[in-house]
Amino acid sequence: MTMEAIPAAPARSHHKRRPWRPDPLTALSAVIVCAVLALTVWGSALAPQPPMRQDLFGAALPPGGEHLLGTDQLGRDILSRTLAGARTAVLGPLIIALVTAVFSTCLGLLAGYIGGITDSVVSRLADVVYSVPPLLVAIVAVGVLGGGYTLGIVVLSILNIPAGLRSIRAAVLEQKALPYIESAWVIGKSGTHIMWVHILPNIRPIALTTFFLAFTYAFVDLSTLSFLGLGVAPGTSDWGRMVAESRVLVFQNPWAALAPLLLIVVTAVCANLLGESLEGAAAEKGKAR
Amino acid sequence: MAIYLLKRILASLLVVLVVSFLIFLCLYFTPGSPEQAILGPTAATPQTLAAVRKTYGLDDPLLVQYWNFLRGIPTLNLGRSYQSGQSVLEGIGSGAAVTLPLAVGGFFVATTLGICGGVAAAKRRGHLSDRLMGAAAIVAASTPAYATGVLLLVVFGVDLRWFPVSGNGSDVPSRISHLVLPVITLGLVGAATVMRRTRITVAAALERDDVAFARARGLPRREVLFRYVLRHAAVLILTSAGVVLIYMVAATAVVESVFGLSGTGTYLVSAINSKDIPAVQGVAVVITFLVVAINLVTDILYALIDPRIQRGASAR
Repeated sequence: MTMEAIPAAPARSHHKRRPWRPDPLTALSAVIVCAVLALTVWGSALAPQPPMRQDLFGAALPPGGEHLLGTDQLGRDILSRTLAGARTAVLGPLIIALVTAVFSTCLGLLAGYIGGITDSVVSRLADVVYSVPPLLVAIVAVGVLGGGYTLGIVVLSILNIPAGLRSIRAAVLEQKALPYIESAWVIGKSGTHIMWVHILPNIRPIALTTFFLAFTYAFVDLSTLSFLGLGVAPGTSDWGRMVAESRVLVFQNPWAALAPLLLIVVTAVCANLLGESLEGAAAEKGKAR
Repeated sequence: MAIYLLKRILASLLVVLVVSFLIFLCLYFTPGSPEQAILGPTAATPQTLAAVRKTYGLDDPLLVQYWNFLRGIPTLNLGRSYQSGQSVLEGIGSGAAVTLPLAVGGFFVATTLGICGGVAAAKRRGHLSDRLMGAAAIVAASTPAYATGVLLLVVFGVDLRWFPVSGNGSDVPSRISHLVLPVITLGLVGAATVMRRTRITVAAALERDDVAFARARGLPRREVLFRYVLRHAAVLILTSAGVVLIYMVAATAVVESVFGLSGTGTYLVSAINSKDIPAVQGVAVVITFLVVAINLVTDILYALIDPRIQRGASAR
């Protein structure tokens, strides 16, 4: 639910870096996350039947025969809808994570390195935004203004920034105190140069962690919006939306809800594991020094 | 302490004021006209429209409307719902009869399960049981609340038929059985967060010199745990409890909609869908108040547990 600041240390000399060798669980999560990403691109193409085709005579069928996972109340093929539903479920959170990572890195660098008034303004603003629950604000804002999926992405992007900003800022402050920054300053490098060329590479693991954590939260929150009927438009094949629409079918064909639901759980868990293993690797590096 | 308290309370009130104004502003500029929402789909003559605008004070300038809204708050008058004509406070109150037990139960499950699990995992760090609990916590923490809810519903409601699938229930025993799955759903996500934080802080506290020394002096395990270990971990455990409580304010709406409970969260969602502005506004202000109050209480508790915090600028 929240991201925490983690200590960082400068990367050791670049040429001595060992190749990243993940443990089996992390490797498996990476493979699954890649598979889900592939689904967002080619999911609709892989679908055995058009995901929107209705067949009212074959409604709410249990798994078997022509429909591997059965059909929903409008007779649409669950397997096809699940494959096609990856797109809206994953693309939005990806955008949110990207925006969050970029903005929190830039703002965190500025606030941490420049300090003074810039830091106070940015940090206090972040504190205010940080104290509100993103999902709740998104529910009210999207519900009232009626922007649907797009507005959901905008709102969640803004609300996820403070958490990442805080950890980046903490890491920048830590770097700033180290001798190499002073040396760079002494030989006359500009502030911009120091921030982008010297500090940024050393806080990269934290920026990456921010990206993954933001993705996990955004994935959960955005699909919850769709579940509540506030995200994607009605009828869209979207995992969250499918769970909501199939909730009434739990007695006839529970797979209509379970198929998208299990994919949501697996994706969320794997993204989380990946993010955590990166976070752990960053912390480990810090300890090794 | 008194000055610290006063400062925090004033700052909190200010936040409520600012946020309530933002909510008001946001709703004021909402697309769609409120008088149409009040009258419903019936064709309206200009006269009726004007009458409605007058009754609800819709022709007043923005600030006057806001002032009228603020004036009602001390007397708990949050306005009337456009949809039902019922007072918003009554709507919230009738929903709270479901939401409050749900939230209290969920918080209880989250904290007891989380703290006990976290302490147990920290004491057996690296063992199989620690890893299994860690895995369970990751799954529970990353799964969206609605997914956990539907999963529990399919397993315990549909397959095993232990608990009802939907609705509030009529008498007390059936109300309770209708709340079991929602409470567990709400509690599980929170428990995972509390557990992971507790595990980390308790593990760190176990490595402290004074804890090792207390053990070496031969103090009973229970005393070492409660007087030394948990005391060091208390502030961080408290933070996570506060975080969980705030999370629950949002999650109750989701859980209620999964289990078809008619609580405050469902009231908010249906108000949003029908553009019932006074209702949305009322619930949003109450929620803001709750979130700010939770933050305030956790901050005050910190200051009581760890007196250094009053002096230091940043608590976390």
